[in-house]
Amino acid sequence: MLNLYCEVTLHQLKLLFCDKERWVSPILFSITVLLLFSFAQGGYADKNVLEIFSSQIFLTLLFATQMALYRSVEPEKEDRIFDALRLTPLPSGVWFCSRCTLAFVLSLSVAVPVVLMGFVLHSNLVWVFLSFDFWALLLLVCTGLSCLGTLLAMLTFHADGREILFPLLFFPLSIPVLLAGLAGTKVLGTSDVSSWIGLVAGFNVIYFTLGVLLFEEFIGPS
Amino acid sequence: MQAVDRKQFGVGLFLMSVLIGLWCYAIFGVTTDKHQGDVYRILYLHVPCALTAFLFSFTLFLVSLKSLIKPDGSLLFYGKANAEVGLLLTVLTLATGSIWGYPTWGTWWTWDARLTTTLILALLYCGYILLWNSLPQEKMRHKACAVLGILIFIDVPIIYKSVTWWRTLHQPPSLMRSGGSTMSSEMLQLLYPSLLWMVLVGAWLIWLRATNHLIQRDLEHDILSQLEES
Repeated sequence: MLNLYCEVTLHQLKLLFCDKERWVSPILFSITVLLLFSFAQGGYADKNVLEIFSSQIFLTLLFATQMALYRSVEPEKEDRIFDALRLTPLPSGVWFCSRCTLAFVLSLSVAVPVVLMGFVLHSNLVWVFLSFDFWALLLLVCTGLSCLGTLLAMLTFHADGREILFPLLFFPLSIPVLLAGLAGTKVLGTSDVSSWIGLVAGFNVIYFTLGVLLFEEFIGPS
Repeated sequence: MQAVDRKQFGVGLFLMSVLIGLWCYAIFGVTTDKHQGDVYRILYLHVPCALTAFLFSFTLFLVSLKSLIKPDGSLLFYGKANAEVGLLLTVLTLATGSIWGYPTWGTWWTWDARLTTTLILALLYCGYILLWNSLPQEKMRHKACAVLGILIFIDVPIIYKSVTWWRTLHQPPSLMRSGGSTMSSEMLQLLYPSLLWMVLVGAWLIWLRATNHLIQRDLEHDILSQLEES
């Protein structure tokens, strides 16, 4: 099972990085949004800098990943891979995990440049850069968005008006993950952060479990 | 009129009459609040609508969970009816909250945590209904909507805790809180019956809508089978 997962994921990662537009455009989009936020807000009081930094990071991440995740099952749809998948002995859970990993890599490739750019814009937040809790929160938020995005991409796979339905569901359902991530970042350096990390991890478990259990149901013939 | 229709009509008439009676009592019967004035009377509609909308997200969660564990053709029609009534109550909550908010806070709407999370609940109910209508295949529709029904319930604890997690314009919990309610006993004497009656009216609306959905499904099946035969 693990070998199969690794093979499928590696193959899909190669495909992802061959198609430069799929990963370059979310990164460029997110950096542009972050710069626009920074120009628009200008100078602000030091006491609010962490709140502004965290809201900019997570909001930018949401916009960029929404664009990327909506298209996460497009190659399979175009190549009718799910039709072939139903005829192969490959467990559908492996395919879901591999899609999640791919989405995670994609959202991480957006998150890391955005965070680095954020630290350049807010030079007095270097201590956040060195905080283990911040990186744990960021990784968990990326995982949550990836699992949710993949689950919703599958959920709306056969739906009419998918272009409207996907963002309509993705934005409200990603709010719990983003709010927990945001609230956790605001209390970095205190003992409260661990409860927020636990909350984001809890959401991840829910989204991931539902995805693994129900993936096969959603890729059925239309 | 069939027996079921008569029964539904009778139950509905009774429930609506009592609810309207309670609202009339809230408008003309109870004394005016010395701090907020007459506008506080909307509380007897706003709070029951909000709590019933949250309760129905829990019933939607239970229906969705049951239909995932043990698929049942008609169970999720109750889920759809539940989402429709939940959406209606959430919209009523937001509307009555705005009507109360304008004279009290000086604004119809603010991006307050409680208001925003309630709006998110309304969007999720909309998403559920849209997803239901946009999936053509019955089996897939049931699975997808059941998953969404479970996910919608995640929002409710966040709405409830939003006023304690963040500094908000909306007041902290005054009804369901440790140490008892902060509201006066005179208010509670009318608020609890209003809440109970709103739940009953909501349940009646779900029953009515689900019956209509099931009739619609049976009619569609009949038409399809007639077309196949011809």
